Amino acid sequence: MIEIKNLTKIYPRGKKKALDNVSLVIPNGIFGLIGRNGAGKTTIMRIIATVMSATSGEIYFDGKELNANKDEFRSSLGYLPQSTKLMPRLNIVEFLDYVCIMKGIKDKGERKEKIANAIETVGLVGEEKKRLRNYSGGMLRRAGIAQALIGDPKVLIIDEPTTGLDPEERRYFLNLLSKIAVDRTVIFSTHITADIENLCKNICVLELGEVKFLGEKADFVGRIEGKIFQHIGTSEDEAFLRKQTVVTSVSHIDGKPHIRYVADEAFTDTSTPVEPTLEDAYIYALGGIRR
Amino acid sequence: MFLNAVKKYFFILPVAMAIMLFATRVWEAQFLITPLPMLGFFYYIECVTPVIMLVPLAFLLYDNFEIELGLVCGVKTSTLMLTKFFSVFIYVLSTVYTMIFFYTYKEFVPNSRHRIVFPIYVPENYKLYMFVSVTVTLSFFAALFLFIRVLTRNCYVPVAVGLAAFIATSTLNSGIHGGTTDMRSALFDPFISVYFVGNTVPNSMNIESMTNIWTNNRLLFAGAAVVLFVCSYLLLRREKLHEGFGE
Repeated sequence: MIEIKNLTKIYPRGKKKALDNVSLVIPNGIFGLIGRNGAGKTTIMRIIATVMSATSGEIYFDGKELNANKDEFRSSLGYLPQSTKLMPRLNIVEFLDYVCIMKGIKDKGERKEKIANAIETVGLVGEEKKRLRNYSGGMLRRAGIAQALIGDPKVLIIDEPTTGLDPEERRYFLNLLSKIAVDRTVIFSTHITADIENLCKNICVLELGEVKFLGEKADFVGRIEGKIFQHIGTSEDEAFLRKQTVVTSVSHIDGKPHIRYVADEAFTDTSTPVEPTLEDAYIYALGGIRR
Repeated sequence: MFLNAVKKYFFILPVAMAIMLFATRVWEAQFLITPLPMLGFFYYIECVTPVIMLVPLAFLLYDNFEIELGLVCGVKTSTLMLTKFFSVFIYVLSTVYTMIFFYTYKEFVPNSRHRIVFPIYVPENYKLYMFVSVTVTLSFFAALFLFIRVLTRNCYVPVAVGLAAFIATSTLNSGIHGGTTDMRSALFDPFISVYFVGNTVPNSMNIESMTNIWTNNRLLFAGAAVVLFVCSYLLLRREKLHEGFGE
């Protein structure tokens, strides 16, 4: 379990706080960190991964303060940063061998075994000879996961891994994450709600460096249970509902806007109550869709 | 492993310094008449190689992903960067050493077929002199590029500085060779050996002043290399190289 207390980060040249007094408890299993671009997801991930220092606040891992026990924590950590520029000139075996050496695995036989296991886990068997620069986006993410898995870490930090992946690769990657999350804490950040729909039990919604929600996904969606409606009408109706309620989505079908909004009661006679989705709850937490 | 690699290659500097000090004792400058290729060889070794070295140092040294990965794996940024730095440095130095080692100078007798001949001012044991001189030049430029790369966290700044140094020194050189600039300014020229090759002998040149200038110049630049290297190391120890830009 990871506990974060009053974490604040102000970048040296930044005017605003990237993180403002954030407190979180991250239990075992997959923990989803969701927020818009610039919400502070990457900052919090980098601070937990010990590659960046916080301006103030503490982080505890299994009850031990992280900064005082950095080396111990790092030995149980796997990290996949947002960047996909792994090491383009190497093939997967050479890349993983380099990671093994960095992680202090000196025995050649042991390294070979760990590399083979990691490649098998992420489904890159048969792709060993290809250089990483020739990998697709999805394969690169899997190679990134393979390096994070070296050393069998207890904590995996994965920063926006599904960005830019096609639906098939995204699904494969999410399945892989659920497979490797057994007996581990996986902190996974995204700005795509569909990514955490079937993956995470616990989530945190970040907005402009502040926690908007922390808890179970079901409770998050439950907050708008019975308060979400759909109205099919005109663009004037859309403008009216935008002023009066929190609109979570507008899709134009056959030229008519289908407006989903959150309100204590229906605002128009033709509005029908609908089942809330995670995306509705997320957009509601952020104050509605942008114009 | 990385620390070992750094330790393994670090002996080069003190050894080079020792050779340099020895070389100052055996220095006996004299005129040699040489054809164009020898001038080109000296020029290439001393001036062009540092600029070539600049490219891998500027563009291959720094990898944000690798630095972050290293930190998570418990490898210090300084260890990671210095290992790469020494790899590039040793690569370039070995290539240059090999070129000097296999270079053969043939006694040149001018005849009517050769229109261009160059009197050059080099010691008899010019290979030893070149080994020492090029080690100092490359150490200085490598340390300078490393320092600027780490300080600015930008790959284009060291390239610009390297090219500016190259152009500025070439201008200074022409001034000395043409007799319009005082020979003593050669003390601050990183590519010192270029003074001893050329088609014009500087006006005030004599063996004693050349020996002194060469010795002082090499010591000055070796000292500067050590200072720049230590400053770079101190910057790297902060482990903040991956932070800052793009955030």
